Amino acid sequence: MRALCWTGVNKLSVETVDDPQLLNSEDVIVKVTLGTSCGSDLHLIGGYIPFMRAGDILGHEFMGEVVEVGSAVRKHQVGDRVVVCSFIACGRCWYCRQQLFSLCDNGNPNPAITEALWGFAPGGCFGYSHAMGGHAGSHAQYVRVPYADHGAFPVPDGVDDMTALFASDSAATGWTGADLGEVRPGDTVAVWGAGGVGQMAAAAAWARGAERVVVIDRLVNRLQQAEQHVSAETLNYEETDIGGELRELTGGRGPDVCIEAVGMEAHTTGPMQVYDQVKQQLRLQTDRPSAVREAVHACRKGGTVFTLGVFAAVVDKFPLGAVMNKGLTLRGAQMHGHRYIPEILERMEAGTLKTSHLATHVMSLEDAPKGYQMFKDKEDGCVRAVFRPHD
Amino acid sequence: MRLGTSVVVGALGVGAAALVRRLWTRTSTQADGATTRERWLVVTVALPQEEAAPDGRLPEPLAELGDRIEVEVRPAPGDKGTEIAARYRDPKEEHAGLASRVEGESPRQQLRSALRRSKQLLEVGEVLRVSPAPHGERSATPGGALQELVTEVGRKEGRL
Ligand SMILES: NC(=O)c1ccc[n+]([C@@H]2O[C@H](COP(=O)([O-])OP(=O)(O)OC[C@H]3O[C@@H](n4cnc5c(N)ncnc54)[C@H](O)[C@@H]3O)[C@@H](O)[C@H]2O)c1
Ligand SMILES: [Zn+2]
Ligand SMILES: [Zn+2]
Repeated sequence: MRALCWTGVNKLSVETVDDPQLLNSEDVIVKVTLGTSCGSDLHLIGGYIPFMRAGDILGHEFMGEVVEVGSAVRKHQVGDRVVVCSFIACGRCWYCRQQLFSLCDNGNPNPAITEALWGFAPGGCFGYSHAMGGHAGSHAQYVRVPYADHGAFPVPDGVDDMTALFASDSAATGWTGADLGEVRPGDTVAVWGAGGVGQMAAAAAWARGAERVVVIDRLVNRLQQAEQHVSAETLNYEETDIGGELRELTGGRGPDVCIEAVGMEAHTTGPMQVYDQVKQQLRLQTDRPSAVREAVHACRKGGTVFTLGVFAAVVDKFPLGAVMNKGLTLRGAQMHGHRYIPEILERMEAGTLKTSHLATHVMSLEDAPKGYQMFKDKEDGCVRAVFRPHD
Repeated sequence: MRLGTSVVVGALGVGAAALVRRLWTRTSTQADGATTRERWLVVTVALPQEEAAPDGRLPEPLAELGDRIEVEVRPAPGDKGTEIAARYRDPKEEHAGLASRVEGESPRQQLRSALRRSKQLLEVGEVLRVSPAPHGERSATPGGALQELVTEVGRKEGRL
């Protein structure tokens, strides 16, 4: 089959590789209909998460059709149209029972790396390096899906492929942030980052009853999407002072919940950007946390800051004093998609959650290296590059 | 093989669990003649004790290590399931050379892997496999070789 492989830092190529096989009795093989780029892939491609091997297949946000089922699979049959959660979870360990699916004890067959990095190993993820289990990614014609009864979800007939695709990762990640960030009715929620994840976090904040939702970015087309498709207010951090603007918007209090959906390659204006970038390049800090810093300062006293953006290791100049003295709750998580995908699909079916606008560039998998370049450079208003592996 | 199950723990609950915890910690840090004992390796399985070790029977990967290991089984507090702790009876087994560790053959690595596989067998009935996974061309680089090594011992290393 054809697959998009990482071949070195900032190098991708489409190659012919072996077809996947059923390896466990709870596996299915999915013929991938659509797969999309995600901001998390950029951290891998750029070598910020240095546990990729040349030849590894990328991709974790996808949907498709079941073409083979393992002997212990109960819920799926050949021909089912499914969307698959980007994280791999067993559904039975203690963490899964707490619905903390991305912390599953049984999804990562290679826990040593992350135990050394973080103390304990989170679960596995498709196409997300050997640190997250070494599972082959979904930017391929076929992909093996472990624990399929738990991680693959039938797509309702009324939901089209291009909408369902984003239930796999971006929407479910947004839901993770708003839910675990405990957005309450009446809250004002600020979201840093207007990519797929930030926009979906804004949508999730509305779904939880927020009264005001503000999305922050510098890319005008993305801010327009957040206004048009997610009904959020927007702020451009290159044009205005975000802290001052948020205070004014919130009667001087600050947002109740601040969701950061930017991640370790955050961009900022001013001298901190140079400082962070130099330190990151010298590996004195692995991650650039400028949006988190801003969120911590902007958040109201006693509020919550949630990091949805991916960070790999250590950051510098972190305003711990503000966290402590303002009594903030600081929380983060990889997405617990198994918990939210059913609700997300229901909302898609009811027409109350829109996602297909994120697919700004749709192309054959053969063009995926070009698609990733556009996605990385945010060229031509690219929000997500979507690949069709069978075109 | 029979278990050194801490029956007391089952009967007396949390207070006894705390006592056993103290014993574990003590023996694992105490000097044992010239050799310092390694810590117990412990996993928690999300099942009640009668399902995790019915009649004291251990899952296959641990049973295979036979009398070389001693095993303690006890309920985890807060309904978190069952804790299974193991270590080699003979402290000499714990101090294998670097070469066997690199090959993933050291006794401690085997024990760690046996515990992890046991947990998975109990919780989901199978050990999750990941290879053979399809992949593109792998060039032979030192970095690649290192990745491969780390991946091969992935279940055997770590902080367990
Ligand atoms: N927690 C999870 O499970 C999970 C899942 C998916 C993605 N992610 C992470 O979420 C983050 C966003 O993902 P995405 O797919 O939307 O990525 P993306 O690259 O499409 O979007 C990131 C956006 O952040 C903006 N940005 C950069 N610096 C900023 C700043 N200082 N303030 C405000 N905005 C800023 C960029 O302009 C861009 O629009 C990434 O770090 C990704 O790894 C996490
Ligand atoms: Zn993602
Ligand atoms: Zn689990």
